[in-house]
Amino acid sequence: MRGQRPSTGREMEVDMGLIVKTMARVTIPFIGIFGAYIVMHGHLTPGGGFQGGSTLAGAGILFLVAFGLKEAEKKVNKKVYSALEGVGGLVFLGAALLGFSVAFFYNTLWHNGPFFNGKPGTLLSAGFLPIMNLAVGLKVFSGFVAVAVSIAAFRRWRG
Amino acid sequence: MFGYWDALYFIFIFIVSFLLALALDKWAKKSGMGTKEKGEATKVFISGEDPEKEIKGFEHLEGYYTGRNVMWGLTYGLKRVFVVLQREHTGLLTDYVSYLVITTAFIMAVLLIWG
Amino acid sequence: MSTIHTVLPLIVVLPLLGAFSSPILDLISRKLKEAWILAISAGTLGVTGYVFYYVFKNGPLLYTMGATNPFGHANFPIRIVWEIDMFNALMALTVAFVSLMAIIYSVEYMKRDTGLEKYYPLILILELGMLGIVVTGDLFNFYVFLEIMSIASYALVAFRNDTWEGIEAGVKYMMVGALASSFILLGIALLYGQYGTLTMAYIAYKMAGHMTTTAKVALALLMAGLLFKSGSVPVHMWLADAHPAAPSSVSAMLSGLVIKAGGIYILARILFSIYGPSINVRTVGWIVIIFACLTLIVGNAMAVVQTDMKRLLAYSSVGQMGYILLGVGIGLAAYGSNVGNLALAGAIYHTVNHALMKALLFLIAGAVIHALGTRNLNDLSGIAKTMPVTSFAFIIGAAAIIGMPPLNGFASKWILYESSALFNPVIGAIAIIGTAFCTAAYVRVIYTFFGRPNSLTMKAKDPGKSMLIPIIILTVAIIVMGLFPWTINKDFMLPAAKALVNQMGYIHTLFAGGV
Repeated sequence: MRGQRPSTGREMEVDMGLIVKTMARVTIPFIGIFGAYIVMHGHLTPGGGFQGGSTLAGAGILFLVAFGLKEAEKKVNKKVYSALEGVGGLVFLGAALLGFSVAFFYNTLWHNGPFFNGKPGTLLSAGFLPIMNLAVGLKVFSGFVAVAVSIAAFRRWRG
Repeated sequence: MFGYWDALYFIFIFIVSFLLALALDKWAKKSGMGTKEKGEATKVFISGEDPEKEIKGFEHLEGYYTGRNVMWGLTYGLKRVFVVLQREHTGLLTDYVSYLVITTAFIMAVLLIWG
Repeated sequence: MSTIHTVLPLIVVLPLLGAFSSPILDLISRKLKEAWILAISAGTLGVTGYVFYYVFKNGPLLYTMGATNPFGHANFPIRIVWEIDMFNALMALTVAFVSLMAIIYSVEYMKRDTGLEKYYPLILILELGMLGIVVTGDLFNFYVFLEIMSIASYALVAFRNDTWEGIEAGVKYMMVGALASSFILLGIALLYGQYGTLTMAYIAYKMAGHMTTTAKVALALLMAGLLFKSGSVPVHMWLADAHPAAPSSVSAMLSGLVIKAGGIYILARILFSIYGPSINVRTVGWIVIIFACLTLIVGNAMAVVQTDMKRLLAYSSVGQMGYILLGVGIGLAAYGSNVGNLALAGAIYHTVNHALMKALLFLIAGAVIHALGTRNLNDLSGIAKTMPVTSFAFIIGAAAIIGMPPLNGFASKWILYESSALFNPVIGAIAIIGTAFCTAAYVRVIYTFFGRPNSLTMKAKDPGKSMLIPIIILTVAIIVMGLFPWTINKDFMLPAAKALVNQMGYIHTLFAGGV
């Protein structure tokens, strides 16, 4: 950007134009679906909560960049996102505590739970791992989006 | 018996030395030429700083004294050491990293040779 | 399945619960959140107290993650284990106690700050990282907790991000700290490659009689990284930047706990429980002693010439770490002998004492900053007239850290002098010189406090309840611990030192494992 035109320091607040916005409208759902796939298949294929959550957050950041901060601030409440991050952590902790009567992190769902105890390799298997992946995915997604919005909102330096 | 000590001993030692100091004080007052109980002689005097002295041009410092000059003898005597030490504390990130690498290399060399 | 196995995981569950739930509670009410954080932290102290009592009564304890025993269907341990003996239990208790004090203190101290929705989770995560480090018996688990602790402390050092000082110190700390962490990770990777396991006790078992060059290189990397984390000279410089820049409640935790749990504790654990007699203990011991002597001279000497109160305290921390390292080094160089055990007991004793004393001193520095807005010693003369309680507590803390009888610092320092003089008189002399510098540094502060008040200090007054209570509790703890030094040493510190030296016992606890 430097050397081409004088910076106003407010680039983040406005959108990036019709072409980028249209492309973002098309791609954001696909990125979201792919991220959700990575999160849900965390116990079967490479990837998992963190990777899928980052992909999902990529959709959020694309929205922020393409549509600008003003539009994004309507959709993203920083406090709610930080609370959502807490919820992700709590769900993870709760999953770890499910088998507390035997040991911390005991996979009771897999051994004798009512669900998630299918044949290994199928989607509904591996006990608490899918739950933990979902929790981590939620935590990473909300954390990254909150960070990106904060960076855009609290930018203090010029050009 | 290792590491034996008792808080009680120090109270004994404190009492004994207090009595000794009191006796010395009494003895000195009796045999001396008389102690000045008033005036300049009773003023607290710490490391060359007179709290009531006014210095021309430094009136804003007048009226209170600090620990700034306490231990000046030690600082002055070991001036060279302190200068070297302060020069080494550059605050540069690269220096921190080099010291870490030097430490690692030193420990590794010693361990590989004598370990 | 006994009570202790139900209670033990709460050591990390409680702080995690507090950290994750505090942003949610923050949406409801600030008062509620603070009460919740205090309750969580007090609960953690209760749990560590119970664990300490149990270990004190019943001996070492093994806990397996996710199953009833660490073996599964294999004949070697495959699961993450926690292994707790007297040494860990004592450290965990200290960590939980000082953290609780810092959290009570920060309720009032941080009142005027913004960004508290980050502050409380971070401080609980810092506590969680330290507790995790001191309970774990698995090398990679240790590394994860070390990173949790380190990242929380990087963020907390840079918490006051409206000043250049906090940002600069935080960035420097993060850069060099990450490098040191990567050295530690490399060391762990080398050990894993060589022995094929990450369980500390099993590595120790495999290492006996199979010492290789790889393991020595790994030890060098681990030692360098951990000496950095414990602030030993010449890699102490980050400490003098980072500890003064943080908010005072955080400085108290950083100086009192982080450099001990993340540095000394795990260094001693690796040196004694993993390597132990497998390696040439004299060489390793002397390496530690050399660094310790450098540390205690340079740290205390640099404290003498500081004009910034918190920086002085930070350098004093470096100096005191020297004593602890000295105890560990002598314990290793005179492995298994009476002198070695005594030096190690002195080191553990001084670790606990220094955690209390330095936390107290940093909390007082925070109270002074809170009242006056400055920490330049030249502006602080005569605080004793307007802040009597704080100044009294400072005298107690300073006297204890210098090693004045009958306070607790004397007991531990005396044991260290005695053992170092018995081991090698030259080292004993160096230790005494370090104390001379330490005395000089604190005498300057005390003179300043009792000088004649200036216009600024006349307006100061003692802090409110929430800041004063931790200061008073810590002062009382220092005085009370000074009254029973012999009992404490015999009943707690020597057994902790013996548990640390007893490598066979550490391995045996693993193999006898299971709930």
